Amino acid sequence: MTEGRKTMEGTVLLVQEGRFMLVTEHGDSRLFILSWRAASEPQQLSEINRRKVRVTYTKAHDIIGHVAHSVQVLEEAET
Amino acid sequence: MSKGLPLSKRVLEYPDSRLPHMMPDEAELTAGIRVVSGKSYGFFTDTTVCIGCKACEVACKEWNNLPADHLGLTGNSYDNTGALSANTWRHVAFIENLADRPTGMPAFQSNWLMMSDVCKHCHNPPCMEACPTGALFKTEFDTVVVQQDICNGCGYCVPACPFGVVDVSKLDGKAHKCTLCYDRLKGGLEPACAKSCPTDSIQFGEVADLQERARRRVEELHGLGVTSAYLYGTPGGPGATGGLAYLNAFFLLTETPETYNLPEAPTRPANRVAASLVSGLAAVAGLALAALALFVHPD
Repeated sequence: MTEGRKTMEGTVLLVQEGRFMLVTEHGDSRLFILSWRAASEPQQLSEINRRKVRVTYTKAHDIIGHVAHSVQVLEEAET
Repeated sequence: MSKGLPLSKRVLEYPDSRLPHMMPDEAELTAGIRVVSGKSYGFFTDTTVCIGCKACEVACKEWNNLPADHLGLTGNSYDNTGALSANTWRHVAFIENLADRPTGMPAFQSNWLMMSDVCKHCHNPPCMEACPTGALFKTEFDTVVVQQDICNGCGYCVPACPFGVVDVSKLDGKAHKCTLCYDRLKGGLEPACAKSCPTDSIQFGEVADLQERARRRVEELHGLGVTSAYLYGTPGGPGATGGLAYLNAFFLLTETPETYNLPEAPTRPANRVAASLVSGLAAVAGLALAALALFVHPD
């Protein structure tokens, strides 16, 4: 189930339940919803708040947002 | 129109537009109450002053980081949100009264009914009763919230809700609904939808105070000739039937509940458990007797 998967890097601006907002270095912001297939759980998302991450995602149908399948914290994270 | 809340003297503490820090107990300035644990909070939605601006929907999505959904046009209404869902926790319903059109409607008068629908935060919440994992719980503010880390997505809460509020997202597999801005309440803030409402159609406060305020509003409307005004969800009234006791988020309506897509007499599914159990046991007993009659022959 890796068809159509893309990656995006940026800083997590805010986290609510299983949703988070990512801002790229160009200033674009994207909303992600953590997939039920992802290895992470919503309660783990608070740890990535304000950190640089790489998200693997697919487009979601009929919403303005993406489905996050994995979230990787980058080493050069800002704390 | 009601006179509104008296302005808190605390506004004098903040003469500048730029604030050096977050206001403590901000709800005192915006809603006239201090949010305290252990008290019962809710919404009073006065549909007679709703203008359908959908500011509440937008504020809800902004604060809760919810995605816009139902892209495109429904084709049957100016309301393109459609319904409450896992991604839409406030929904302003546009209902056009067609009964007296076209000749009976006064000139230059709109015949639209607007109502901002939301989770009712029932006093006896059926969704919570149905939840097998305890993900749905009552908060210290007497509101009903889904704990995302505990929800297993079984969906039992969905048919249990008599108002069709709870929805399970196919994307994350969890149940979602209005939290009455639980995180904001914990920070002393008024819920985003009520704060954004420009006409005070959505009023936030302690449930007992809101119920009293709503009763006065109904009397006021009756005095103005709007005799059809009534409360939906207050104790003893429509919407608070079937063991629900009362709704923390209740409404002032001027048409039948069905007009607003609200059930006339909602009930707790738990009321039917005893009857279902008895009928189930009776069916088993009947089948057992039938089997005995068929297979056991007296010799």
